[in-house]
Amino acid sequence: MTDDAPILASPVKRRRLRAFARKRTALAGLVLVVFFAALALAAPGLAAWTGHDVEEQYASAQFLSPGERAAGAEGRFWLGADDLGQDILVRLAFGARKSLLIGLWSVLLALLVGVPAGLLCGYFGRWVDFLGMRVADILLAFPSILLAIAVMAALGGKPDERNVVIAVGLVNIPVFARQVRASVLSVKEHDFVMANRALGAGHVRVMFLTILPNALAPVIVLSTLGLGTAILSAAGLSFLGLGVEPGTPEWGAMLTKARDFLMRAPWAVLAPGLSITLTVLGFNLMGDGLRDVMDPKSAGKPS
Amino acid sequence: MTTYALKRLLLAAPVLWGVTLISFLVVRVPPGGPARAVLGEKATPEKIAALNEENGWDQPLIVQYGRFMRDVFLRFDFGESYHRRIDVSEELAQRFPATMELSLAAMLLAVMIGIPAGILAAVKRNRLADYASMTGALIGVSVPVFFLGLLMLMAFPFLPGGGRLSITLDIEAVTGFVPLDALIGNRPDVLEDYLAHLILPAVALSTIPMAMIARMTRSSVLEVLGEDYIRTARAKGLSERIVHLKHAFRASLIPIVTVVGLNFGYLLAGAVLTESVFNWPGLGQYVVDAVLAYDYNPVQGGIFLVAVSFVVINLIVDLSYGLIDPRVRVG
Repeated sequence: MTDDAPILASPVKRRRLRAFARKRTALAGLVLVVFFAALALAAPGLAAWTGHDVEEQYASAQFLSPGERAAGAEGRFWLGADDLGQDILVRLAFGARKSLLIGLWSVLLALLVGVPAGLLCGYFGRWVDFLGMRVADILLAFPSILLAIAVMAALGGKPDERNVVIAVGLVNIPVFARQVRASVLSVKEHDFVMANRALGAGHVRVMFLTILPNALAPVIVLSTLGLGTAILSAAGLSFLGLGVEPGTPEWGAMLTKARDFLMRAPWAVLAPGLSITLTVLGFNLMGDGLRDVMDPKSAGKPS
Repeated sequence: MTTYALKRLLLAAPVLWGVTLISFLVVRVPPGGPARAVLGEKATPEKIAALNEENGWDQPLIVQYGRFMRDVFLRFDFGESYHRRIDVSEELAQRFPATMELSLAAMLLAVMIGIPAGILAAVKRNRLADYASMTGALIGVSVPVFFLGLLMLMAFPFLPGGGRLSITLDIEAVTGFVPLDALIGNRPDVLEDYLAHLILPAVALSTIPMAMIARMTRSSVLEVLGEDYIRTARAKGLSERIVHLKHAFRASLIPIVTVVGLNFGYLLAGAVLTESVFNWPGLGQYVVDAVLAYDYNPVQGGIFLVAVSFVVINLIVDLSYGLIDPRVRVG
């Protein structure tokens, strides 16, 4: 079939999957990510099991150490409680939901805008490419947190989850666009593409059915790594007070609050902080593993 | 070299222009216009109109942009802070050195530890030193800098936890850079206090660049060590040390310079979070406070300054390639 690019044949995919499974670090990353995803899914279950609702404040549990009980509260506070007497474990689990969802949505946004943009630039070239790449240059000229802050400011300056997704996603758009463009440029000249065009395939068909599948591999790597950075950026914005609304169970926001009483309740700092670190580490390990598998030439070379 | 330099400058020009445009637009985009956001609940149509007129926000955008550029580039005038009634340029002038000090200190640490670590890992490849430092680097890249800052505050409670200087101390601001002013004014006590305040945030901020520099150094050195001319050097009988220092190092420099340059941008930005944790009075914190207070001139000025500095620094890094790698100058 002229539409099937040779690279996407099944045996290659299976081989890569096995190669990925053989790398211990990549698997460790997968385990970490799965753990936090499971935590996120189990959030309401945890609330039910401990009997502590995520918004519930137990005055007698203020700064409670991990594993203790408190008067008026049903279960143990496995990770202790914060200044308002809220169960940290339950908040952590709901925070996992927030962080993972925000990360997913932002990467999705970056993909939905960045991939077509890169395709168009690489495929049509000339002034489309020139304009597109200059816009990308300008966006990339800002340090990422600053751009995220600028976008939050432009969208109203108030903490708002949707705006966080837009801000963090926007920062990643030029990265995806550039990568896709590079792949397009390298694939464009291959015979099977030109053969398709010669047979009368329209631009859109060629772009999406022929070129895109071959540009997919680096995009998958970028998405995985991008999830990690998105979670970091979102948490950072929340830490500054520009992300989710203060008081929402979200890892960055939890750190901001915990800061005021960090000597009295260090676990309130450790729990969300370690969660962010391990989740991002998980995505980084997975991304590195995927990169090594997809392009053996770059094995051993960090980004 | 001059053609290379000119080419680089020409490429940077549209980016610089785009950056000014975005800084300008950011403030004017919010729904309802900046006036409504600044006034908040107290907004009435009359007040909005008055504020618009006062700041020129009712003019067509082109006119506003023209005035903005003229004010900034001819008069260094970034307007006034709405709440504090101080010139933004004055505040920027105070804050900029603080961020620069922190960024430079962090970059110094990152380079001084990252590069040797990377070289060590490359030279002792696949042995304990390699795995240990690369694992450390990977973790370093994953840790959020604000978490790390908080951990350091917890681990070192005896060091001052905030600010740039203790409140009791004062220093004549000659250059605006505290360490320089302390030296000029012959105040070692101020210098000592300043360094005590600097060390935690600098270390916290330096971890991510350090990790990236270590990784990049390692891979770059490894790649160069595999090259043929290194084998030739060894075959000639040169000692390992000369092979490493004289031949391998210079060639591996380019990606290292890239990573250092790229990381400077990270430092300017990451400084925001570190400044927040340690109450370091820098630009990043300034912009965040301004955004939270809907104070638009500081937001505009702050974003402008940081972004432009970033572009300029990248330009300098680009130009230094020309010095290090002669191939770049010709190609």
